[in-house]
Amino acid sequence: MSATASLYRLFADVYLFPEANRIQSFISGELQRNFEKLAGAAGFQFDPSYSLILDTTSEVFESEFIALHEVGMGGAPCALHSGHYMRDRSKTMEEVLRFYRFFHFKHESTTDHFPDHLSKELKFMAHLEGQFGAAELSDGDFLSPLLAQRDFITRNLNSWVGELAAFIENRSSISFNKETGHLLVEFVTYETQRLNQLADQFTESPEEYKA
Amino acid sequence: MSEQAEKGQYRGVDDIYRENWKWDKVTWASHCIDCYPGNCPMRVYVKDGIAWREEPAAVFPTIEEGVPDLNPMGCQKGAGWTRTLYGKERVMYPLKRVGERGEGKWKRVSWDEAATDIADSILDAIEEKGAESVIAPSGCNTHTWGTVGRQMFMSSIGGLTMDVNAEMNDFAPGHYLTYGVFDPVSSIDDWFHAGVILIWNGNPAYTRIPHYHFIAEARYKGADIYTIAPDASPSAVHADYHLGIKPGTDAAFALAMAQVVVEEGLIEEQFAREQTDLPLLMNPDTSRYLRESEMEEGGAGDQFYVWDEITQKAVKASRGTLFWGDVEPALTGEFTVDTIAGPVKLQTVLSAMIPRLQEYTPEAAFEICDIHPDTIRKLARKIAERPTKVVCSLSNAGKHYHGDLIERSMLLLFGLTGNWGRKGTGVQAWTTGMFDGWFTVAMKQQRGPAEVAAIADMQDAMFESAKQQDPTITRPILAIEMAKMSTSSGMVPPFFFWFHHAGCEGAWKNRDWHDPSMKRSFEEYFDEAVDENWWDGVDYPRKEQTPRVLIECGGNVLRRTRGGSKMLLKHLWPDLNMIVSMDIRMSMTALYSDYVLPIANQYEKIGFGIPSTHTMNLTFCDRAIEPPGEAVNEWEAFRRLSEKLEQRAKERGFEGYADARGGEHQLQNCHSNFTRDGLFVDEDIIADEMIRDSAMLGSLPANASLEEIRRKGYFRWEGLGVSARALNQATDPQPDETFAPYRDRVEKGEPWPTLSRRAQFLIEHPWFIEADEHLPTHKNPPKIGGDHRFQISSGHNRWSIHSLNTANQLMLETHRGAPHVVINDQDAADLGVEDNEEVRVYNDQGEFFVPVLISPSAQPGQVVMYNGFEPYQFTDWKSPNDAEPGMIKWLHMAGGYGHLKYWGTQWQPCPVMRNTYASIEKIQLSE
Ligand code: SF4
Repeated sequence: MSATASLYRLFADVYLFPEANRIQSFISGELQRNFEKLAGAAGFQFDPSYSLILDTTSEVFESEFIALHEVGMGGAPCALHSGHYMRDRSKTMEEVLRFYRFFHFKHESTTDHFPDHLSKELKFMAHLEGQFGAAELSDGDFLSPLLAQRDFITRNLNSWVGELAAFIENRSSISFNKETGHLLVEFVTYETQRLNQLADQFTESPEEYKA
Repeated sequence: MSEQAEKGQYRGVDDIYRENWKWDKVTWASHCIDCYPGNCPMRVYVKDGIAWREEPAAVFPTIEEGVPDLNPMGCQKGAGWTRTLYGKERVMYPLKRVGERGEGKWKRVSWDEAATDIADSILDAIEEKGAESVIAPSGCNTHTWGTVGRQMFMSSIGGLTMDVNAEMNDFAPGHYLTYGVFDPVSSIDDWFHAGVILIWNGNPAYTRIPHYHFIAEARYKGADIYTIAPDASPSAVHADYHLGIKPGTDAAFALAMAQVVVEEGLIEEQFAREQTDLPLLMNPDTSRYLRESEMEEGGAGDQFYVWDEITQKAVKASRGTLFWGDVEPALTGEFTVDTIAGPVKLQTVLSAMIPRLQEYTPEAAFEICDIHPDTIRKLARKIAERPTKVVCSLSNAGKHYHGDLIERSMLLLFGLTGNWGRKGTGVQAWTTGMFDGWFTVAMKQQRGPAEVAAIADMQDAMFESAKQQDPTITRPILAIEMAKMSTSSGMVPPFFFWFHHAGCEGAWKNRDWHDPSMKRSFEEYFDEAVDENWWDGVDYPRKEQTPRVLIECGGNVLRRTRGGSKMLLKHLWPDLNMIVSMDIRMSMTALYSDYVLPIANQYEKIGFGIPSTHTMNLTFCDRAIEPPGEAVNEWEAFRRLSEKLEQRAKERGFEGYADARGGEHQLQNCHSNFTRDGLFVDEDIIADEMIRDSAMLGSLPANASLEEIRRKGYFRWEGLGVSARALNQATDPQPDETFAPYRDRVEKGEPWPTLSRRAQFLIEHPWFIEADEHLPTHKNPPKIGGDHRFQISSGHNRWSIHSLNTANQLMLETHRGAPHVVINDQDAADLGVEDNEEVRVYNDQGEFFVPVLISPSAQPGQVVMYNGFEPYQFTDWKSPNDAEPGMIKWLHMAGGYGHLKYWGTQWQPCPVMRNTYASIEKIQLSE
């Protein structure tokens, strides 16, 4: 798996419901270390002032996770589903699901999160990144996953994670949540630019890109 | 899938949209209770475990030639239900509170952990305070499984379930006083037969979206449509006449029309003679009927008399039929009758009523209600001439302190003009029944028809035996008598709970907020009602039975209760050791709970539309998708609680016990009882049983089954079944006719379930006589809330019948999207407030802050506050309920008289909120 794909997965883990071992990895600094390692390899400039070490108890962290992302008066204030940030959640879910189906990305809505859950979407980006890498290696159709990555991140992730991070900034009392939120925005912004450039490069001068 | 997609070749976002979606399944659905009467058949389209959309799909046939069919049926809420399904407000996992109540700090727990903790709290409560300390408010949004599951669970432990009709204030006390039941309901298509439609105490343009077309269609046919409301409501736009009545003066208006009918000789005499007590003889000195016990030694106390014009004698009024045979009762007149005590001067009830009506000549009434005398006369004549129907009353008059007087006055007008028991006539309330499987399933020990046949046989035997004792009794009347005797279900009128434990006592004891005709203190009446045993068997919880566990299922007690969430949080919450909310979403009550248990929404479980004669159909909602996360249907939630209760009872050696009403309980086998030893676990099996049982008892087609309704989506009712409420609609449903209740009373002379066996306008109960309300009259609304300038009226919010949809973003975006009050433009100018400016609304009870919507549609002095909003949608989480004390009228605690006795959803005091007085204040912002 490429470093970029792993970074997507790392972010995806941050926004899954916090199981005990995952919280432990936040507290122990394992997340921070993994992040530093992967960001460098993925070419993502990681500001060293970010601290991704959780400095609270797992009980407090879980309770805040629920209050931010799962329930609240009139709904979770920092919902993790992209559809809640778009005009029409059904349409958003439909588009996301169509992407998943097109690229054979496994999704089960009943046992899993809804298709537009942030973790799911990030994992899908990792999935496409994997397809891209595999196609590159085998000289296959790498353009499909590349263009899909570009479109998916542009139409979906890049259009809402900024709002999510701002909500978290306002609501959260735990710096880990704020920091990961901001970092996610930076990463998605970086990836959006990178993928757009890459796609442009290829579509403008494919031969040069291949070379 | 396209070739391109097959290959996974993607060049642009268009490519993902090329695949034509085939639905994995398309199912029938409806929205099972939130929007009574609902029952709109919808189709739900499912792919990959997601319900993507729904659409109205009713294909009901024409029932009666010349009458439009019910199609289409649906509303904005229903057409967007999937948005609620996937709304931000869903709760998907069991949550345990980890902070203070209301703080919003939660922890996910397993069902097992939650159930263990809850079960232990229940056992502790029973040990400490008795079974009555476990309380379940009655939510409206319980659907099929919440209703049955909660009833079985609560009765298995001996806990108390609060009567839903008092909780939602949808009781119609005036109907009950007159008819002995509160709930006449015609089918919606019957509206078409009306020649005059009175939209009175309702706003169907908001609340009856699927059915409004019948009003328009009746109008095309020539009906005159009137709205009678203080505000030019959204329905007024579609009416021919809008009568802007002064708030709370509707009784004077109705009595004035009755006066015109009498004055101008427009009474339909035969109808009034047969249907009503107006010809019965009464003593003007005592305001009591002449009784057989006064005429002969050992005579009956419930045998009354009329004056026969033919024999010129007082003769007994038959109790077994409304028809008079050879007798020709005088409708008016004064007569001297020889009684045991000597000659007594008597008069008919109508004669006693006439001087009262003279106080309400149109000119006099105009001074009270502000409707022009000419309008009163014209409308009265029309009502006397044409079939007239009050649509959408839905009991809202009962939300006035003197709602009983308003309703009695309306019914007097209708009784004089032949306006019930015929097509296109009558008033409306809400009803349920027919789907007898709902309750037979709770009585069965095995699947199949045998036990239902036994129930039917038992009912036959009971009827025969009752007839031996009283040859005049009818099946509908017997069904009510049986319902009155059954107190074992644990359903109780909630006013004892509110009075002793919820904090209502303070407001209710405030005499200034009651009518001046309340001669003694409120507590004297309360004590008398208890001491006289008028509420025997249902006067729980008592003062000493402090509630310890509250299980909210399908309701939202902190939003709904008059007096407000602040009152409950202050008075009730500290006593509770365990608060459980079973909900699909984080409601205000859930927020203040100790556990929130996630419940499946519509489309995620089987359900049936609330069975009613309104739509005349049992509508099916299939399980189109699985519930998200760990949500389960309510039956399963209660089953899990039962299972744990059984386990913990065994582990703790919790022995059998009796509740305070004498019911015996053994929790060591409560789960096996709940599931009938594992027979009733699967919702398909239970639903199939319910349908088949109902078919056996005659309300559904003989071949009805789950399989059949899954295919067809609905069944039309073929009969009324066996429940008291359904039977007392007193009309046999016909396949080719609209349904008008009480036809059996008019066409077959079937007696009414009242003391006099007629629609009863004289209520001789001493409290009523003391208050001068033994006959219909008008009284101005008391100053509930104190001496303030404005009167708050309310109604159902746009698109949201109850609170369920109010927090949904999409629904909010279809209108102003936030709570607001409508006030008149002159008032706004006086107060110096701008449109959308937040103001303080306050009175002696409380306050709330809300933006104003300025509109001349509100009368000067009126504040329209649509209800249903969650307290947390208001500043400081103070809602209108905080300023509405929810007074109950003391007379409604009366009992020990004829039909004035509690049975489920019927006679009981209910809190009122219309005409609460308040002031409005501009908020002065500090620098
Ligand atoms: S009225 Fe009720 S049943 Fe009908 S579509 Fe609307 S929400 Fe559904």
